[in-house]
Amino acid sequence: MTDKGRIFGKHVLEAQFRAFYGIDLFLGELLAAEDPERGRRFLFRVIQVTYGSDSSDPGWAERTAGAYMAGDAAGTPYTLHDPEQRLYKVATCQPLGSIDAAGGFRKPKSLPSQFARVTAPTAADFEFLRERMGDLGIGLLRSGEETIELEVGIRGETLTSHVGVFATTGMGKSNLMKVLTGQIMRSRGAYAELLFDPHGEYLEGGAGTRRGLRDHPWAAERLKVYAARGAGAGATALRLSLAELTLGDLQTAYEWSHAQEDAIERLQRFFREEWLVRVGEEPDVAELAEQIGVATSTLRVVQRRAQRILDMPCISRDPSVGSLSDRILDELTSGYTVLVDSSGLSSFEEILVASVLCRKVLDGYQATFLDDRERFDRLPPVLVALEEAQRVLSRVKRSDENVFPRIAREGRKFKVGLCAVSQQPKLIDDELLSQFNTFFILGLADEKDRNILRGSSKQDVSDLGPEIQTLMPGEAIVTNLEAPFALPAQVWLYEEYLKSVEGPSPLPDRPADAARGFAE
Amino acid sequence: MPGASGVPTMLRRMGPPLAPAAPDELVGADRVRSGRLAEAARFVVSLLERPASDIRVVEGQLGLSEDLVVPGDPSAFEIVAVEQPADPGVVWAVDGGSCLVADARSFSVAAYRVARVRFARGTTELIETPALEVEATSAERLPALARAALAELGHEPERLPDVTRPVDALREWAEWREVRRTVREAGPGDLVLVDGSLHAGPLVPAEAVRAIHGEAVDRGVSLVGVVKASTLYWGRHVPLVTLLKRRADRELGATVWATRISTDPVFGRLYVGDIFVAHLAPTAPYAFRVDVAAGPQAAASVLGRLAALARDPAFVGYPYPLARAHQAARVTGYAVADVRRAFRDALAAAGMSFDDVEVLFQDFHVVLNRS
Repeated sequence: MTDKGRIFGKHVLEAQFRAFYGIDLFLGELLAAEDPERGRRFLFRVIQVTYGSDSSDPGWAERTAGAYMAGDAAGTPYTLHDPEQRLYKVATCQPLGSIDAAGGFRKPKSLPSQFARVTAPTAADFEFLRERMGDLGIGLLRSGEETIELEVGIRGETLTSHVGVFATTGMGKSNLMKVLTGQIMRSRGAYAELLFDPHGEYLEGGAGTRRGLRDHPWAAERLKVYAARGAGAGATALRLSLAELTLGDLQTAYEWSHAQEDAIERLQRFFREEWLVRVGEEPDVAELAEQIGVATSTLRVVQRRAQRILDMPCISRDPSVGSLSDRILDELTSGYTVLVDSSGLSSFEEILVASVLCRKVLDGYQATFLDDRERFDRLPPVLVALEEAQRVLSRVKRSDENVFPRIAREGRKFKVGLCAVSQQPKLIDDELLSQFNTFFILGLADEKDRNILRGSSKQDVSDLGPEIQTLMPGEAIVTNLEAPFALPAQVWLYEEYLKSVEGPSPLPDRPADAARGFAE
Repeated sequence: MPGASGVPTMLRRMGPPLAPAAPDELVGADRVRSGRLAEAARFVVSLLERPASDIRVVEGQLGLSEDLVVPGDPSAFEIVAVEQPADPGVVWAVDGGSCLVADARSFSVAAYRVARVRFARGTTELIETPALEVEATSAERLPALARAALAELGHEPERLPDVTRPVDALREWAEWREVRRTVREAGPGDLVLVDGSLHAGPLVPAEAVRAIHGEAVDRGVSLVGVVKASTLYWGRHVPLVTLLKRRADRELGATVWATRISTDPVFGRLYVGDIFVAHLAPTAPYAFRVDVAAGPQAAASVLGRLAALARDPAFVGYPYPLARAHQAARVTGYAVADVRRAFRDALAAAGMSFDDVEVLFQDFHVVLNRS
């Protein structure tokens, strides 16, 4: 049944309609209101559903519930007759806009005729969205708990204006990231991605029947895998040079006290680029502390951290051993997806590695932009995706030396986008968050997290709090500059998505006489 | 000084000074004369304390507008449990609604309608809410209206009823017309519910009721009246339905029960059936007088069907189809205002100036209450 009810009230920014008793309405459900007088169809999103009854007595429902309960207690349950004639639902809706006879979309600036019929929308109602949905689809348009046959996604060019993926645990972040990464791999080099995987789940897919990026039909062609702690099957051992580590990387990865920062500066003055090795290997810390004029206890902390860094298998202190960061940059500029499996590293170590590589990418793209504009124009936009991004994007982490805020602020100019994956967007600096043009909002239980997104989203999501709170795993709300309103989406299940992906065409058969003239 | 001797004379004429009156009781923001509330309460309590020996049906003497009084005592009536069928079958309900559109004392304009519903298989499958009938009445027109209405009910009265409120008379006549139409349309085994007593009264003569009842019996249709405001009393003043409800609550608890009031043979001569007081749902806060006409089904079975209809949680203990008929017939406050406004427009269209309209229908109470 597509007939849902009739609009009866409210204003241009909010509509209310009465729905039939038997109609199941869901938060986030998309609806259309017919306005034959103007030849337009209005689109709405359900943001609240309440009970209604024909009784003029405001206490009727409460009293009737009491009567039910009394009947239950007496062992003679009562039955409300003709509920479809006496009860109904009232849905409060957010107007999304209207579609004129030619299919053009307009923002909601007028009302449909009062008592307009409300129906379920058809795919044709959202045809105007198709051209705005971009080439990186992530799922289907969702209406409540149903899907509409219209792909929802983003344009690859917008990756550089940054992407936020926000969800509570278990709401589908990893699945979304796999789908998005799969689409980037499928772009045949049009876009590139540097993806850090702290849980080692993206490549193989994690537990059970889940599948990973390795299973993607384009993996062989477009995926490069590095492992920060030893190399597994199909992964190259990540190797970075100690000389590539900057003070900024250390500041990004660790919390340093002023005294510790002062100690590092003194160490740098004394030992130049050798400072980390020297302090890490120093047998007599007390003497060194006295030598450079810092407290022994302070230096011990610096030494412990230096030793951890020196012990990292992916950090090479031998300058003759080449760093792979250049290779990774080359791969990204060639349109590859680079997966860095950082599982096994501590959180600080992971950030340290990510900081080195991201700085390499940003500096590399920036250098190309400055030195060779023609080559730069040919470079694929690259997305740097980092889990638990609040670790490097919080207000306390704002510093000129932190590469991640730099990417958020300057990356777009140099075709470097940041994909911040986080369970706690409230911990991300709101000024940085406002730089993110695309949000994928999945289920978020914490109201503070939802509130911070309201202030930074490119579409108004202030009315969508209850919907965001009740999103099921895989259900998302997508906001970006291209979408005319916050789009409800059902993200493809990665395993299902893989079934629809065509891999690269196999090489044509070798002609029978192809070798003639060579071997003969 | 002429005034010097006049003052004592005047004081003497006024008599001795009055004893200071007891202060009024403050009730909310208003005052009540001292002791009057307590005295009224004592009177009501004394009514219940003074057992009577008779049961009274107000205006129960058909055609005479006199009370019917029979020996009886609330504690003597046998209260029996009512068995309910799973399916109450096809049930019709008829109820009327009305309002006064204009009242110029010497004449008035009434609006009324009678609604009808049919309930079967657990749902209301038919709801008829006809348009409002509007009738202008005056002392001169009323006899003709009454004669025509009663003739339509198949009765040519020798003496026309005394009509004090024409709007009520017009509605009641229309209700009985609709009951007759319903009986004629109902099938064998159907139950027809009427809002109010089944017994004749000052407006509807016994012959008319008997004629409709006869048709019901012939067609195998059961006829029942449910009375919300009963005129059954113990003695002269004590509401019988309430007393029986209280007694049953104490003796039986939350259950469905009925008790036959019309045990005296005199009822058999006067009425088309039996009068019961029935509690139609275990947790219902009300019991009702129920008139069950003699017919194709035993009264106990009819009461059982009624109980099966009285399990809607919004109307616990009241037959649901009658509640729906009531809603369908009701003339709401908004509708009254609309009809009144439309009538004034009609007066203007008929040539009356708005000033005259205001003068004709003005009611100084409105001014008093508003100020």
